[in-house]
Amino acid sequence: MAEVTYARNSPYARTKFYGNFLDVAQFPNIPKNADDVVFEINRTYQYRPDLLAFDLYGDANLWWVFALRNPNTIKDSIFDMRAGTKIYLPKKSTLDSLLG
Amino acid sequence: MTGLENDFESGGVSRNILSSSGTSALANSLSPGNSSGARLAQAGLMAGATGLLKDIAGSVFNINFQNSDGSVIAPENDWRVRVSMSSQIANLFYDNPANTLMRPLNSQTGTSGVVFPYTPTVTLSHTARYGTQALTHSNYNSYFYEGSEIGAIQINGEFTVQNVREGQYLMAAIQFFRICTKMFFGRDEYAGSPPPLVFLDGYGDAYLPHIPCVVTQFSHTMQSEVDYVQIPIGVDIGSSGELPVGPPSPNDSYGGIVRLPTSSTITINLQPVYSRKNISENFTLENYARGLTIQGGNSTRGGFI
Repeated sequence: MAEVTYARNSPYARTKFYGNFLDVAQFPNIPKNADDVVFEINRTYQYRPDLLAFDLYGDANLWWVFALRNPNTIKDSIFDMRAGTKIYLPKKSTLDSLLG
Repeated sequence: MTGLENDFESGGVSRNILSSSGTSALANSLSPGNSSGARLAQAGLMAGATGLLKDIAGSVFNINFQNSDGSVIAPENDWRVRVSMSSQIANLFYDNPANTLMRPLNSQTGTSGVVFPYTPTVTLSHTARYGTQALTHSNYNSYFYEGSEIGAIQINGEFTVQNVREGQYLMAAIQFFRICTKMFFGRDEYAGSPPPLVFLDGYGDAYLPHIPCVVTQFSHTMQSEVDYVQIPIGVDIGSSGELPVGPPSPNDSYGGIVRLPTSSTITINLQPVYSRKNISENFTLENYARGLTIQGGNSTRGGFI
């Protein structure tokens, strides 16, 4: 059986395999930079982290970075993205250096 | 397992965006026809999460000229073309705390007079005037020196209005030159005095050495094919330049809304004038040639061109 490879923009890219199963999830630790932009989610991006990621970073597969950057605010990556919620947005340069 | 494998792989292979340059991504997202750019603009965001749009408002042109380390260059060390007033006269106008209309020109918080944000077209002329005498039975005229003069300095500069800060600056500049073509009149403290003298600086002391001038003509050309933007005048704006933060106090000058062209041209004619005392005490051709009359633009012997 071929070994599964996760893309570098996947949240599971760093998670190891244990036999045929994924090991305990190892999510990237997104740095909390002081100059990260604070964004109040509007109706356009409500429940649409994929759309926000696409517009900001050009890659909808990075939908998960907002939850990892804002663990106290966003527990559910999708349904906690409600309009009016203020979140920090990691910079593209940060993600570039983090994800390679 | 193969299908699962393909699903995982497709996420990374189909859109390998992370390696694209931030600059091009920013340019693409801000292009008018780009739906991502439209959504981001509506949300006040910039591509790459590099900042908020309001953070760059007011910094489109660099009014307060900055060094490479970010420190602000003092107006007297700025090489750009500047038209200013003496400190006594400036206290009546742009240095007057109650004059919110001209505050962008303030000596402490502004540019200490009008700075042309884009390199203007400047024309200087030096003339030696000779009279002619056509002698009888002569093949050549005789010439007799009569005098020399410096012609009016013509300055033609462009102003743009891309945000509130630039709009307020343009309005202040227009007000400045309007003032310079009016005399003190009526119930003025200095009623009867002629229009204020201005000083022209730029490109270093050796070229425009704080030349004392009078404004003989001012025109502001507003073209029909450009957009006009609504600008609040006479109100303070936030440090990021995005929004008015409050109306002027009752004792301040006019506050209201104007519409200004996004691109317009200001043309002025400045006639250099030198007092007889200054000329007789300070000017010698030898010193002039050595540049001694242009040393220290603020000194009493300065300003000769």
